[in-house]
Amino acid sequence: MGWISDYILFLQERYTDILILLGEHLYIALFSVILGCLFAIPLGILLTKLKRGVVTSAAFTVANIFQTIPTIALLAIMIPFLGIGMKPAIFALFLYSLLPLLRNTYSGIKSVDPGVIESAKGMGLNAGQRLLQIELPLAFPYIMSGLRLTTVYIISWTTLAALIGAGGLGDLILSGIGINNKFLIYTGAVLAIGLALLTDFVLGRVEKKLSHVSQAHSETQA
Amino acid sequence: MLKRLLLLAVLSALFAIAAACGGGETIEIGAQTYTETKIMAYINQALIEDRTDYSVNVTPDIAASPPVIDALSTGELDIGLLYTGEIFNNHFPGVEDTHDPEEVLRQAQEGFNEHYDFNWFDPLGWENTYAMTVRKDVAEELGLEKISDLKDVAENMRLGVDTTWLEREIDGYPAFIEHYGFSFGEEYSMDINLVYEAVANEEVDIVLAYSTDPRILEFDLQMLEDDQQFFPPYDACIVARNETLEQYPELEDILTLLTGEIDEETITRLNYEVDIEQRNPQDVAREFLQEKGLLE
Amino acid sequence: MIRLEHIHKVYEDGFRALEDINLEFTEGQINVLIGPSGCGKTTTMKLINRLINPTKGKVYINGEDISKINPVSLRRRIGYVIQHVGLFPHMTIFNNVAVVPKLLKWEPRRIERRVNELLDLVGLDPETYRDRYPSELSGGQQQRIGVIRALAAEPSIILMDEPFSALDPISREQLQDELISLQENIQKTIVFVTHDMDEALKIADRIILMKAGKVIQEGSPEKILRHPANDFVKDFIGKKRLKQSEKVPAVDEVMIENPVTAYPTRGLAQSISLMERRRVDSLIVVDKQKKLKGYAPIFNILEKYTEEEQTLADVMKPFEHVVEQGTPVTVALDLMSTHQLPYVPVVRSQQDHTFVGVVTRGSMVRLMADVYPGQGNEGV
Repeated sequence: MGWISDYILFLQERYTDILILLGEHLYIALFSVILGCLFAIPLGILLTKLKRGVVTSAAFTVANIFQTIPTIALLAIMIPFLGIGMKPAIFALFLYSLLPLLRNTYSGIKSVDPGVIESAKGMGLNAGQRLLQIELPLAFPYIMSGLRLTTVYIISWTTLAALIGAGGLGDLILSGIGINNKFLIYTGAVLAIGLALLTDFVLGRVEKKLSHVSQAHSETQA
Repeated sequence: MLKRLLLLAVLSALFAIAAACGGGETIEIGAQTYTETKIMAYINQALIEDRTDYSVNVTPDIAASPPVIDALSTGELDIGLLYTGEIFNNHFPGVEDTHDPEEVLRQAQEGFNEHYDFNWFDPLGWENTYAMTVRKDVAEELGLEKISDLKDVAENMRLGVDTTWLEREIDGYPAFIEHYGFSFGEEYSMDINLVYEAVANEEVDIVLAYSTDPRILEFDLQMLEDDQQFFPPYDACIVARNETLEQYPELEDILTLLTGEIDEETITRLNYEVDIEQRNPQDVAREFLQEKGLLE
Repeated sequence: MIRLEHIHKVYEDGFRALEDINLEFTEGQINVLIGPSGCGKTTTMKLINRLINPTKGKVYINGEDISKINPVSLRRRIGYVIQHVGLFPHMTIFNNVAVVPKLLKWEPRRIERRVNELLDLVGLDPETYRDRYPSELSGGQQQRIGVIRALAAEPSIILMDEPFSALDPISREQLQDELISLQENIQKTIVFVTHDMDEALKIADRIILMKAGKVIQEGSPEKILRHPANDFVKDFIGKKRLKQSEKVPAVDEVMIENPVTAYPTRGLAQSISLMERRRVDSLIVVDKQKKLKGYAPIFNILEKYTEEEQTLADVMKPFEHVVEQGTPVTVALDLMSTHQLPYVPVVRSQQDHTFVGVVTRGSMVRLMADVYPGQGNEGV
């Protein structure tokens, strides 16, 4: 059982470094996902409004290709353009986040019963009101599940960002492998898993809360 | 194109699994992600297959040396290429801190024999150590020749290193700071293959290179002399399981054919052929053996 | 009032959806647009709230050209109910009904009053239902909400696009009945699209029958049934309904055209012998121009029989009840049963009183035998 006290010693000695890396990790992952949302959700909405199927399938093909490039390759491809460090890492992970967000937004909006849209239109909701009051609330569960999925795997892929000098928990894992230090490996891995689970949990609560809000909305207005 | 790449990845993964499962008459050789370990693995493969009836399988791109050691100790690998400085990676207790190459080699041979049952062969002849490396124009501008010259400028420099150095104990960053008495402004750890381009493209100002990497020549970089002997010796040595050598006694002669035969210049040239001229490491290995007249 | 003038609609692919449509939808009535699918009935309806804009032609509401009205604000003034309900699944019943009043920025208290009132109107208790979600309601209840949602902002026009077609037959019948009685109270101009002739006949004040982008016939259900413009209309109405409409409503079809009649100048003994010969107990008196004069029951004749100078003109009584040609059989039947009459004479018109025949209880029985032939044959 000596390893437990060794491990506690290790943590005491290294916890500031670990916290910094954890912070970097969270920063890279969330920054990429938020960028992804800002880009993919409006794009997904826009694609549902386009009449030309060509544009939609082109957008999905491009997002699909980003998705299939191996992470390490994509990270390496970024370097000549963006150099090393957080910038290329965030950009590469942003590209990875596009497809699931785009797909879920698109299919979420597409899944809204056309009858509902038509009656909203016929009742005199303008395009913006239809989007905000009808389409987005109804597509919300889809978008959220896309967001949760994306966040979880972006957090896990962020470990690879350590390969291009971006820092994060991948530093702990890679250097742990390099110098045969299991504490480093496990700490990095466990924190990355914990971070993914925690984020998923938080987003799940946010989703619940927001759908409660939209339901409670009626009561306050009544 | 993409499909072909994927297929290749899947196939190589399958091979790796098959290799790991295979036993019997197949000898398993492992190599790390950097080129000279791969060239050496193919050299050994060519020699063994040329001189015996055994088949040899090479598993390249193992992330770092500790996994190679793990695989050797479990028997998944039979032969690998390691460097004497590896002893400072906490593989066994009681390692004495010394920079004397003879002493480091002795500790490696005795320690790995005792704790892992490995036969650590005598050095092949080249050393691949860490080297603080800058662009030539920076070296000239700042008048840098040796590491001590960095003392006054280091705090304004961005340092690029591999993914392990910041954590290494005896020859890592904390020890370096203590030894030389200065630290750098910022540190970026990344895959070792990226550091050369990073410094050439001015993403960072100085990198900790592997001294035999041909990209030092290619990108016109300047290595700084380790004037206070901080970095321990890293002499390249073939390592094999004692069990394997007992099972295939003829291997020992084959694996010592090149002892002391490959110097820094030679290995750098071979690395250059692969890394810069984009040649296949297997071809480079065979060609080298033919030049040496070692293929029968 | 809604008026469509020379409307053409050609889609981008060249499909001519509407060709020169000229129509008026009567105010305060249920106007039913009917026709086979693809005939342009829904397109025609959607012109009114500008969900579709015509390629050519104008739509006027109360004389105002609607192409000059902002479609969004136009739509807020027009109720709209669609086939698959179209309730917003993420909103409560309250919020669904309140959508347009909220868009029109009504006072919250006014909205609340209005919603409660409407829920009461269709028999859904506000306390129970307003905070529920559409999925918690039956199909029929959902469509009731769909209807009152269209009424919420008190529009004078309501468009209904096959609103009951997805419901089961029983709920459909119920909602049709409710719509009819609702309309008696609200007197809205309703444009109702359906492909179901039974529904159209049941609820319509006016039917507009369309085919391939053109109006084939328009008029009251009665007129359409009675005088189908062509074979297409006949086919669309269906043989069975036509047969029923021919036989059931008109007295012409069931009356006896040559009953026993006599001139007023006929003597009483002559009359008795005629009655014996024809086995009747009463004579219908007509003059030489076939004008109906009255009737002489056998008891009145026998009473004056001894007075040889008397003629039928002296003993006959005028008819208190006559019907015109074309009167529905049901009216005649009603008269007969209310006034205990053995028969009712049929005249060409109330003014000229030309006698054309008589509807008897016996002729009613023959009608029944025609309508339900199976049972009739067994009886024989």
